[in-house]
Amino acid sequence: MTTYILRRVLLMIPTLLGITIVVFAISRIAPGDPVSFSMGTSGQMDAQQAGGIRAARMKLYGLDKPVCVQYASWLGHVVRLDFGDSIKHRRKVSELIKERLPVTLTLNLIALVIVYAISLPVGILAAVKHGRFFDRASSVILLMLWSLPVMWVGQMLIGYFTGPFSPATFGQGLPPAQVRGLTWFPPAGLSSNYAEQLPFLPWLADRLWHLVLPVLCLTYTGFAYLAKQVRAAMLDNLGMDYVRTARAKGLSEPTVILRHAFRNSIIPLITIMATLLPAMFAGSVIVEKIFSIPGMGLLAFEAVTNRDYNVVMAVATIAGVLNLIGLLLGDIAYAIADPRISFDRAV
Amino acid sequence: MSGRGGLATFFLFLFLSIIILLQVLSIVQSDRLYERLNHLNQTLEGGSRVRSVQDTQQTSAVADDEYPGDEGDWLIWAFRVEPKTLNPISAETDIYTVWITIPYIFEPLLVYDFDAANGRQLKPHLAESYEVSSDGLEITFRLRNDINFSDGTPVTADDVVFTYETMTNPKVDAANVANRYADVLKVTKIDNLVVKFSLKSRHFLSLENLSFTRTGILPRHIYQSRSGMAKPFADAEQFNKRVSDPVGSGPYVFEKWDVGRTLVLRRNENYWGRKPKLKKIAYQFIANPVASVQALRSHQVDIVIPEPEQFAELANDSRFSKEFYCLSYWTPATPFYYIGWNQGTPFFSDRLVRQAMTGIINRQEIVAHLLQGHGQQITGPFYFLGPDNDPNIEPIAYDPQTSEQLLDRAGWRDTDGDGLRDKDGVPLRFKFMYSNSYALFERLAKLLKDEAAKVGVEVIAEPCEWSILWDRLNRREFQAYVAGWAGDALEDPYQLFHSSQIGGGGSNFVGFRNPEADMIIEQARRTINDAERHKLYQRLHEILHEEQPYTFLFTRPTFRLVDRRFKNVVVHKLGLNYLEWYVPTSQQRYE
Repeated sequence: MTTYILRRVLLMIPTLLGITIVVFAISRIAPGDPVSFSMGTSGQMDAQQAGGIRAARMKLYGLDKPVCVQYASWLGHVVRLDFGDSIKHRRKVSELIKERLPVTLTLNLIALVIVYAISLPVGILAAVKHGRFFDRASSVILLMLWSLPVMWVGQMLIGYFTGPFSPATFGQGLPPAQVRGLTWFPPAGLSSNYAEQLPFLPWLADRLWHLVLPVLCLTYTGFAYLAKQVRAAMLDNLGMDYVRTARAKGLSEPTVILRHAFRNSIIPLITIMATLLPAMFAGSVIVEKIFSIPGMGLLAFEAVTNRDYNVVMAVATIAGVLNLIGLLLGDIAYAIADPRISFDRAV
Repeated sequence: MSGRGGLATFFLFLFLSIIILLQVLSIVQSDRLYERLNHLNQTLEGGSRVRSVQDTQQTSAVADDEYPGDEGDWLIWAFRVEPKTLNPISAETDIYTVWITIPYIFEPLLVYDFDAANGRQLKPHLAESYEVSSDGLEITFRLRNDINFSDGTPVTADDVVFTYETMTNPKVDAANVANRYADVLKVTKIDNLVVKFSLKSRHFLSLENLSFTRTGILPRHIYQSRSGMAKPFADAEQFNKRVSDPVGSGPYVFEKWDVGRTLVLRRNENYWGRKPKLKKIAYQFIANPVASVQALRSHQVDIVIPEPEQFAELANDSRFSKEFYCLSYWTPATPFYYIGWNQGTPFFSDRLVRQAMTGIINRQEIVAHLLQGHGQQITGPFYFLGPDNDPNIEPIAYDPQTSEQLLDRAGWRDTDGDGLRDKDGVPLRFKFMYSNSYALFERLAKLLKDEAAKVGVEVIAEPCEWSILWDRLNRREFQAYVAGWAGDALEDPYQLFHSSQIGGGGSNFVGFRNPEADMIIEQARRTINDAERHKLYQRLHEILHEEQPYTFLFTRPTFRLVDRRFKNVVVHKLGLNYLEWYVPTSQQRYE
C-alpha cells in the first residue's frame, strides 16, 4: 500500500506539470491580454501614442518575454508557493483566494450535507420499493428537478421569494422601517448591512437566512444524480446471494438493508466523493453570479474574462492538485471499504 | 421496468405535454410579436417622431453655503461590478472607481458645472482661478488657500505636481490616464499655491485633463513612499498596490471595504467646503440585475442602475413609482450605438452601399420596440442635445426601395439569378459580428438579416465573445459589426474617424478615410474657442452623415431608480448630484 501511494504521488508531478502547461498555453493563446483589457475598450486617444504606453505596460508585467520564459518564471515562483499578483486586482493571488475560499467552502459544505442527507434515504427507499409507487414517483420528481436549469430557477427564486413579504404590504404606506422587517429572503450577498454589529446568534441567523436560496440552488440538481447512484448500487446488492442468506438467517429487514446491502453499495459513492474535493474548491460560477456571492467561482470566472493570467493559473493549479488528491483518496478509500480490492498485488 | 405504474407514467406524460405546449405557445407568441413589428413597420413609415426630452426639471436653488434639508441617513448604492481599486490613477477604465472616488474622496482643480447649458463647462474648485496663455500652450492654476485634505494637511502645489508626476511615471500602472498627458512638456511649481503646465501642442481637452477631472489631486505626503522625498516616488510598486484606504480632500472619507460585499464612505467632518447632509454613502455589490431591483424594493439599497428592460417595466408600475423615483435622463456621457461597415471590403468601400444598408435598417422601429421607446435615434457620433451635433441633419429614412436603387446604381445586381446581388462574381454576402452578451444585438442581427434578404443581400449573423470581437476589430478581420462607443471616444472624434487611426491598432476599425474630415478633426483639436469648434464638429457630423462609415443607430438615456425618501433629487444637465440630497429626519433609516 505504501509503495503504491508513493508511486501515485510521484506520478502526480508530471501530470500536474502537464495540466499547468496546457492551461498556461490556452490562456496565452486566447485573444486579448490583461493590458488591453485594463487600457479599456472604449477607444484610445491616439493609437501610436497608446502603442508605446502599451508596450511599456507589457514590459512592466513581464508579458513581453517569450511564452516559455514566462512559464519558467511562473513555475519557479509556484514551486516556492508564490502565485504572484493579480493584474486586475493588483493584490497577491493568495490573498484573494484566502478571502474567497471560506465563502465557497461554507456554501458547498452545507449543500453537500443536505444532498447526502436527502439522497441516501431516497435512493435506499427507492431500491427497496423497487417498481412500486415511491420508486417511480421519486424518480420522476428527481428527473424533473434535475432538468430545471439552475440559471432559471435562481432568477425565479429571486423574482418571487425576495423583496417585500407579500404584495399586500407593499406600497400601502407602511413606514419603511416596518416594511424592511418583512422580507422573504435577501436577494443578494451573504449578510445584511448591519450584520457585523450583531451578536453571534443573530449574526448566524442572518447569515443562514442569506444562505437559504443559494444552497437551495446548489442542492436540488444534486439529489437526482446521487439518489440514482444509490438506488442502482442498492439494487445490485439486494439481488445478491448474501442478502438472501442474511434474510434467511432471520435478520430484521432494516439490518439486512442498512448493515449488509448498503455497506456494499458505498463504492460508487466513494467515486463521487473523490470528485467533490476540487468542485468544492472551484465553487459554482452560476450560483455565485446569480446571488452575488464573492466566492471562488466568481473569482475564476472574472479572471478568465479579464485574462488575469496569474489568477487563472493559480485556480487551475490548485484545482488540479485537489483533483489528483481526490482521486488518490478515492482509490485508497476503495481498498479500505472493500477488502477485495488491493493495490499491492497489482503493483 | 415493467409497463405498469400508471400514475408515474401519467405524470411523466403530463410533464412532457406541458413542455411541448409551452414550446408551441412561445413559438406562436414570437410569431405574433413579429407580425406586430411588421405591421407597425408599415404604419410608422416616414415621419420622424422626435421624442420630447425632458429638460432639467428645476435648477437647484442653493447658491449659498448650505445644502438644504436635514442632516443624517445613508445612501446605499447597488453596483453591478465591484471596483478593483480605489486608487483613481491606477483604476484605468474602471468607471466604478471614478464614480465612487470623484469628487467624493478626491477632488479635481476644476469641476464640471452641473447645470451648464452646453455640456462640459468647468468651474473653479480646488483652484480658485486659472489662466490659459494666448497661444494655449501654458495653463496656470492658482489653488485656494483654505483647503485641506481630510487629515488636515493643506493642499498645495506640491500635491498637484506629485499627482501629475505619478501618473506619468512609467513604473506606475496608469496606462490609460497617462495617455491623456502625453503632450505636457513640463510642470512648474511657481509658489506654494501656483502651478504652471507647459504643453507641446494645443488641445481643447488640455484644460480638462490638467484639472485632473478623472483622478482628482492625491496628497503627496500619503501616497509617496516613505523612502524618497529627494527622489520623488521611488517605490512605484507600492503605489500600484495601494488599492484601498484612499485619502483625499473631498466631502467624504473612506471608512471600510469588505471585499465582495460593501464599501462605505463616511462624511468628512473637516471638509473645507459645503458639507453634504448624508452621513454615509455605502455601495453594495449585486451582480444580478433582478436581485438589485428586489433589494431596492425591500429597502436594502436606495439607488439602483436598472437594465433598460427593467426600467421600461417599472416606470409603468404606478405602485412602484409611488415609492421610488424612476429617473431617465440624458447626459453628454451617454454612449451611442452603431453598425460599423469595414471599408476594406469590396461592398462597403462604396458609399452607396453603406447608404443603402442604413436605408434598410428601421431605426425608429428599433427605438420604439426593441428599446420600448426609451432611446433616441441619432445621425452622428455627437451627443444629440449637445452643441457639436447638427440638429438639422435629417436621418436617412427607412426605405428599402431607395436602398435597392442605390445598390443597383453601385453595380450590385443579381446577374446569376440566385436571388443574391453580385458584382464581378462576388456575391453581396457578409458576416455581421456582435457580442453575444447583449440580447438586443441578437435581435438587431435578426432584423438586419431579414431586411437585407428582402433587397437581395445575405447577412450571416456571427455572435462572439466580447474579447474575441474586440481582438478581431483590432486586427480588422471583420465585415460588419454592431457595438457602442462610450467614455473617451465621445470626447474627441480623432480616434474614431481620423485616417491616422486606421493602422497601428487605432480605433478607426472601419477604415474611414476622408481628407476633409481629417483636416476638420485636426483643426478642432487645436481650437480652444468653443463656438468655433462646435461649428467644425457640425461640419464633421455632416460629412459622416453623407459618408455613412457607420450606420448610427441610437443612444439611450441613463436610468436610475431611487428611493423616494431622498429629497432635493434634481436632474441636472450632467445628471444627479447626490451631494445635495437629504432625507427628512422623520424618514431617516440609518444612523
